[in-house]
Amino acid sequence: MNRMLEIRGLKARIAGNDILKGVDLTIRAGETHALMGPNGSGKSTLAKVISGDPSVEITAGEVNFEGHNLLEMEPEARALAGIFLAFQYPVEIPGVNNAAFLRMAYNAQRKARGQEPADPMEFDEILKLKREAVEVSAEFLDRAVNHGFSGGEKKRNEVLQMAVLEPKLALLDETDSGLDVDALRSVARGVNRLKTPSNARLVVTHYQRLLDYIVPDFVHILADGRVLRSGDKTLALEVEKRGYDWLGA
Amino acid sequence: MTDKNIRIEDLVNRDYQYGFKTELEPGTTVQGLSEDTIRFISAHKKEPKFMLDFRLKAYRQWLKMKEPRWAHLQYAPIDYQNIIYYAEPKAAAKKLKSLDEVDPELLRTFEKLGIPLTEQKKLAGVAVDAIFDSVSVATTFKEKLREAGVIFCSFSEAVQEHPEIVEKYLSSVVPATDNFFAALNSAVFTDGSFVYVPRDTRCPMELSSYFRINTENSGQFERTLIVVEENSHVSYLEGCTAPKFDTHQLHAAVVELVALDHAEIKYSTVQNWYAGDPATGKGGIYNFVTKRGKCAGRRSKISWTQVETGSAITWKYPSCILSGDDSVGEFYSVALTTGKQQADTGTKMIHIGKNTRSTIVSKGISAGQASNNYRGLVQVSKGAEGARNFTQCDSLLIGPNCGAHTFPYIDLQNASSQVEHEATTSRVSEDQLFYFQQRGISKEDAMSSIINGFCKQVFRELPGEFAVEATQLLGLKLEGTVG
Amino acid sequence: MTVSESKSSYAQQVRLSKAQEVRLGWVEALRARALKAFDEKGFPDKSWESWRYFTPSKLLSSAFEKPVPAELLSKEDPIFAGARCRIVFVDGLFSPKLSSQAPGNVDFSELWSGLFNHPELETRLGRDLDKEDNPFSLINTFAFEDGALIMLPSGRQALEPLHLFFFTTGTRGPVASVPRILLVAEEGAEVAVVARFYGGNHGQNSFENAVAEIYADAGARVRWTNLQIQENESGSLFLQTRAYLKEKAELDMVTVTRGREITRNEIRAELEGPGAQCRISGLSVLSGRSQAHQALSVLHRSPGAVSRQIYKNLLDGQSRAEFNSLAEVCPGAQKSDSHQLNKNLLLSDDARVYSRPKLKIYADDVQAAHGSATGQADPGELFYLRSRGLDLRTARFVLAYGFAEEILSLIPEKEVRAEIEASVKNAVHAMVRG
Repeated sequence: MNRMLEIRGLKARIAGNDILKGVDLTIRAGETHALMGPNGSGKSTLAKVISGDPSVEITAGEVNFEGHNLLEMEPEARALAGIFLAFQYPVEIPGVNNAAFLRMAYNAQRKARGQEPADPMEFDEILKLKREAVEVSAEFLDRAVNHGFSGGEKKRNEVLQMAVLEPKLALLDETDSGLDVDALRSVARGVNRLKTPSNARLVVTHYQRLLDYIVPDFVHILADGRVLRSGDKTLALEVEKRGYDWLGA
Repeated sequence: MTDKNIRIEDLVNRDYQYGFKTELEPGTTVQGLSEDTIRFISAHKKEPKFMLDFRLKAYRQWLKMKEPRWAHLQYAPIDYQNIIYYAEPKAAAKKLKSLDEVDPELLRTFEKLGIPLTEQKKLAGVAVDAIFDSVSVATTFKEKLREAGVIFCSFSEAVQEHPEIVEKYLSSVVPATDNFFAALNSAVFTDGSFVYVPRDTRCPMELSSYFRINTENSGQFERTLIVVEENSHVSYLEGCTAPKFDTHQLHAAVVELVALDHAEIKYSTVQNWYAGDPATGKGGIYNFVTKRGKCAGRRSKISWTQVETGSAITWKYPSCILSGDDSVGEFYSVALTTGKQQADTGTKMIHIGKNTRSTIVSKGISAGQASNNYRGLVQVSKGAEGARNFTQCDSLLIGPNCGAHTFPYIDLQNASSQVEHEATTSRVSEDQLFYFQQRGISKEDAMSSIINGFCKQVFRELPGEFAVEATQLLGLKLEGTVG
Repeated sequence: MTVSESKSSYAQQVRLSKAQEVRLGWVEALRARALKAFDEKGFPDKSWESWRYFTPSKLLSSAFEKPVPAELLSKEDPIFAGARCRIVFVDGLFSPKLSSQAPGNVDFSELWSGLFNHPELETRLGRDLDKEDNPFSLINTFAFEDGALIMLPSGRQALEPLHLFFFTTGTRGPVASVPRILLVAEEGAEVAVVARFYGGNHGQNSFENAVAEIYADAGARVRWTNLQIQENESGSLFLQTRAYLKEKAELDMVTVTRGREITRNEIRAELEGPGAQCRISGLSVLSGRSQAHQALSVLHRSPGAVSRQIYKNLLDGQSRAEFNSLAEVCPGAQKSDSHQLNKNLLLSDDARVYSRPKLKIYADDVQAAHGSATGQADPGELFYLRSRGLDLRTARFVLAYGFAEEILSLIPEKEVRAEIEASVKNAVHAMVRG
């Protein structure tokens, strides 16, 4: 199978502190990868690097996505190429209507593909299907983007956006944090329904709990800015039982 | 950090596209201020005696007044002797019978500004009075309006053709000595627009005035008077631009509105005077304007909507005197300041009649090193039983070096009145812009979207086509977020 | 001699009284500077933005007697019950007889001896003289007669509330008093202060012009209650408070105002250290011709500071209230969090209220909000109470007192709160009509 994302020798820093100290990772279409590790190990930073967060400074290494050098691309170009980040802390944007925002994003994608933009009627239809697929109520759409949303609502809104934008590679950054079990299940169901043989997921999480619902093909343990060990889903269970210290992290 | 903020500011600092100057053969100009200047203006315009008397009285009072300094603004003293008080392009000096006689250069100027005046290209459904420096160049759709009984013409023409209406209402809302700049305007104003809507008439189209300052060092002192009789309605819009000059130009206008019983006036402004150089603050218009409406009649309504994007300094408080019982005053404002711009703007709602209501929605956007101030008075007089006011003042800050200030004045003397004031402050953050980008939306579109979301309460008060103009003025696209 | 006859002669008059006793060179120098600043500034008129709605012209044309020591109470007076640690002033002069011993663990003393004992206070007393823009504050600096010093060394907690009593007798005619308070809570110290201002009870037009300077160093906590309650409508009280809060320091100040002809509280709190917090709240219950003017400003000079301003006015008769507040976020004071709220309840058509909650913001990452609401008792609420069997007057009382109670509940000392609640209840009861 062809390589979708390829990271080699990646080093990165935030506000002058070295966070990633040489990371290698390969993700192929159809795969689900889990990235685990203790707090401060650099998990979220890796998701930020892939999506192009300007707060991260890359000091070495390369990141390729379907043959393109990601590091040279603007964040919106990466998004249009098919990378989606479900944020750990989705930002509130007062005044901007959620449905209008989704249509802007959807039409930006269509424009990039040389297609005509979807008109509001047409988009309503698309939105209705997607919304039902990921169990989100219509009331979500009338509100401002994430504004006044509870933690759980914000995470669901991220999954709704993911459903609409149909990314090739979805980065789920601590999507389980702040969710109770029912909300977690619902969010995971949404994510699983979007799974196809041609797309892939990188699930960043501190706890094994989420992986009961989004089952990974590969698990990587990140510690002190390096991938300490990779394995299958049993590695996550092992970590759950024995903690990160067991790995010498 | 600094780099990032400059990038954010770039998104709101679009180039001023109306900064060109029209080359015309210079006509009559009068520089410096004295009684002779005033006598010249009045004689040149062949005004009746009451006008000259009015001007001279205002001038003599002005000499005794001090320039106000209470606003939260900083600027060098103005040399009133260095200002050109009358500038008339030669081409506009003679009285024209039809638009065909207007200098093509002038027509081209207005066309470039998006205000076509010729018969073939006139804006459908909008009558325009175009004012260039000190004189009115043309008024479109005059005949069609006359059929409906509506008078829409330049102020000079009104003085000649309808002196009785002018004499009755001139300075009935803004006394000649109301404030320093109103007194100056009363003494030297050159032209402006005049609207009269007789009773039981709904004005059949939008009325619009377009102001253009072209001559360097010239001041623009226009006077607008709108009188709407019982049960009538008018919607009026003004726009304005000026070329880029390194020197400041003074714009001191006076606008008076009178609404009788059940009458309604909707007055919208899209102000885009040259703001001066964003980096050095050189040049730009000093926009010192007195606008006031009087809800003289029962159940009358005056609604001000303003989108202030230009001028080096803006000092204006479009106000409503709510004299008639059950009358309604509204003020909707967006003020955008970037670079070194300063704005001190707001409103006064004076509740005098019973059950009068007012609404104030002010949205200030400040970026760069700009300063944006809301200043508003809500006054409920003793007899204003059951008066209601609601005020909302929101500030949006873009970047760490700008200022946003709110100065409300609430003065209440009636126990049955209800007055509420709310203010909030927010910002556009890098995190928000990145969130948009991560969804494939460019920073420019993200900024538009956020600013439009912030302003939509005001934009939706503008007449349809001008709402679009306003958003373009802010350098924005509406893309789905408004409406 | 009237105050407005001549600024300088007024200054001479009040200054001489203490001149012989002062042997502190630095205090004399400070006074000279204050006098000079005052001479340049003069008295406020309507063109001064913060004196727009109240100009003390009548006050300035009044004549005052020089205060002389007077004793009108005994140490056992019930008014002192519950105030174990106290310093008492009569007509602005320190009364050793009525004052108690210092509580031991803090320096709680008459100001002059305090200044002699603590030369380091030179950096605190009148620190911001150069930016002082209130002429009455300048007058106090060059003319204060007596005062109180409250000093808490690092980490020290005052074991019980410290009480300050200011009595104005006016037994020989109207007097002008100029007391000064200086509080220094060093790092981590904690203290509660209750300051009571009792005006003349004999219809005398006395004038109290007090200044309180409060220093809360890093992590210090100061709770302060001002009680300005008087049953008649005579006399004027101007209280200028200047508070300086360092890193994570806290100030919680509650002011309750009732009676007098004019009360003017001017509070300026400077949040100088990151994470400093202040809450300034107040209640005025006014009737007759009483006026209460609140001029409040909080300056966020450091990042992450929090400020709350909450004031309520309950107005009857021809009374007037002014809420003139400012929250200013200085450049660089990111993550500032400020909120101002003013609520007014008018019970009479002859009452008048001015509300001016202002914001000046020079940083973008801030939370700053303000609100102001004025109206009368909500007819829906009134109806609800009446439908439960309350008569109209009682229903109005319940709503008006409920309005006031929100502020009273912020008074930290339980006994003081109970005392004030009773007094406000009586006042509100007299105001509502059936």
